[in-house]
Amino acid sequence: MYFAQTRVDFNAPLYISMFNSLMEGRGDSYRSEIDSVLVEAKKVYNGEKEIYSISNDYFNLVSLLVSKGESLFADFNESEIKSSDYQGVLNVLADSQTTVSDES
Amino acid sequence: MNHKTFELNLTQLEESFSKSKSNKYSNPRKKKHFDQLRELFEKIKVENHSEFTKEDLEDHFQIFQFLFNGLEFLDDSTLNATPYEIVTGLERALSDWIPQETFIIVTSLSNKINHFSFEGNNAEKNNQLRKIIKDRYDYEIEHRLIKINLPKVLVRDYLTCVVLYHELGHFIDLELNVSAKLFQNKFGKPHILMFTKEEFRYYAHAGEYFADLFAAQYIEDSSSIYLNYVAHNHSASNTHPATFDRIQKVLQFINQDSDPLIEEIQHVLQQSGVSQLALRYETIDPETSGFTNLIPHKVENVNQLHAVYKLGWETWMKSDDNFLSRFERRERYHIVNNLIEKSISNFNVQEIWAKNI
Amino acid sequence: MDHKGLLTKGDLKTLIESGDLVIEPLLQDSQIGEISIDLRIGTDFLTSQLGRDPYLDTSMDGEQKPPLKSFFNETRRNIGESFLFHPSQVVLFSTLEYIKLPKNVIAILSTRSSYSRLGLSTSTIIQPGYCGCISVEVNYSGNTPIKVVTGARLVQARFYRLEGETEYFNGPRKYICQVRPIASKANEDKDLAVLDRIARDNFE
Repeated sequence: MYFAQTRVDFNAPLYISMFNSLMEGRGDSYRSEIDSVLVEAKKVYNGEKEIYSISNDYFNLVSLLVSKGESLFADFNESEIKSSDYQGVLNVLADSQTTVSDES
Repeated sequence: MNHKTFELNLTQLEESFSKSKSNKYSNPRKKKHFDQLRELFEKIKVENHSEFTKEDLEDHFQIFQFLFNGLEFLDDSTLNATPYEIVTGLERALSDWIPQETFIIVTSLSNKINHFSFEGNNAEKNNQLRKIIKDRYDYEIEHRLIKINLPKVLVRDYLTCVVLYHELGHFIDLELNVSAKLFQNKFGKPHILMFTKEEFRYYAHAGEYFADLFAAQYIEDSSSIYLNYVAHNHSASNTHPATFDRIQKVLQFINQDSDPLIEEIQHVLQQSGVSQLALRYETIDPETSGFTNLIPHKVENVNQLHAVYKLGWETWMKSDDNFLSRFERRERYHIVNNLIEKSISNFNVQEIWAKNI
Repeated sequence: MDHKGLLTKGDLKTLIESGDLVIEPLLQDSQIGEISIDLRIGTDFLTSQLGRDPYLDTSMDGEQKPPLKSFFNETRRNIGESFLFHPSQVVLFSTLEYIKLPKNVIAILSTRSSYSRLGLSTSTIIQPGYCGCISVEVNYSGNTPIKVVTGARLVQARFYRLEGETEYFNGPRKYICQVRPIASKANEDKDLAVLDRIARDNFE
């Protein structure tokens, strides 16, 4: 907006829905893509990849996950992504929602 | 949210489609987008809604918002309603930054005089919605809308409509996560986790500065003139920097003076592998422009096309002393706007003719 | 010395090259004929429509009266798109070309014969010194709707050089630098006020 604005540019509820689907064994059309995003996030967390190189399609999710990498990626095995990994992401997303709503 | 409110929403959407289906779009991409929204809606309609879970309902609420919002903007984006000439300039600016084929710039007309705004999803939100739609309905929507609101009464006011370049800047900012990356660099955490007033203010101000600078690439300081009128002496708020600071920042950019924020933005853009801010206009001398002879300016290239707005502003601001002085105020207003419109449309027509001859 | 009367191809080209006659955009040189220049139907239209008011009132403009433009609907096309002329519907369109005439040249517009033969006709005179796209009113006398492509060469202008120069902006002008068709401003003629007074004050 030109001289007053509200901007919300992160849709945590949709991610929550997507990860819930993955937890329940659905969301097959995007499972592999989401899994590779988690792998990318871990690489950024470990300093193996630059945050700038992350696709804009997932930039906010990745930067959020990286900021919580300590808890998320300690037991993360990229060759075997488990429900508990998705649950970890869901916890982070739930927390982020609280933060944003505090601000709005 | 429950099944009955969902049904209500579904019915409202059905009504909207019923009204919108008679729209005629000159742009085949708009027509295709409308058709795809309708096809998606038809798929949703035949679902067994009574068995929807809470999560299904929430997903569909978001899909419905996406459909409603798309219809709203498409409705006001027929050739009869949209500020076509200025949108063609925005499309050219867009192509400097993002492959343009995927996007359609659409406008919604507001009854509020200062209601200029960008509205819409960034790449990520769009991606999420698409993933969910694809997963649920095995359906893909080809184009994305870049949605800009503007006051209905100013739809042919080419002086004030320079603000649309600023709004396009907001889209580019969100799409490329420029402010988000600036925030990340400064605070060492994602902007999603911003908590303090200072953090929120930094992120919001960065977005406004970027949008101003984005616009200044094309329209020089034209937007500042109007901003200084509608937001004169405004001090910094949580959402916007002080008007004075915004105007100064634009001047620094136009004069290519060094400035820490501009340098930081350039760094972020460079690291992200996208275009950088640059002066993308070719100033037109008002004294030698066609306007002085009451004819459209013969625009020779795209950089001049963007500069026509600044030419219009200069012509208007000096209209007590220049060739316009012999006309009444309202005539001057129409002359300037008409000459801007025709300068743009002549360039567009000649270009499309040359491509197709 | 420049000759008076109808200008021919050579005269027209000389005037265009010198910038005295402006026709922009002139998409093809072939638009310049031996004694006229073809002009294209533009992308903006006004079409007459029926509304709540029972008739068009060309008497003096007043706050209580609907403006004449309220009897018209504004519509746009992209170049290359089609526009339908309906029988008995008043249509105004702007020429694609923006024109500026020299102070001593008058232009007379008529429909090109290819379109006249279909029943489309127009009658417009452009005064010396005029600048703007030309609002062309088209009368369609056929009985079947007719589709015309915007950008098509629909009208032709003949140009006549006059003995002396005129100053277009000497008097008040209702149409300046127009780029879209403008509805009639017949009810804004200043002498209508006099006629109105005559009617009110002299025959009671």
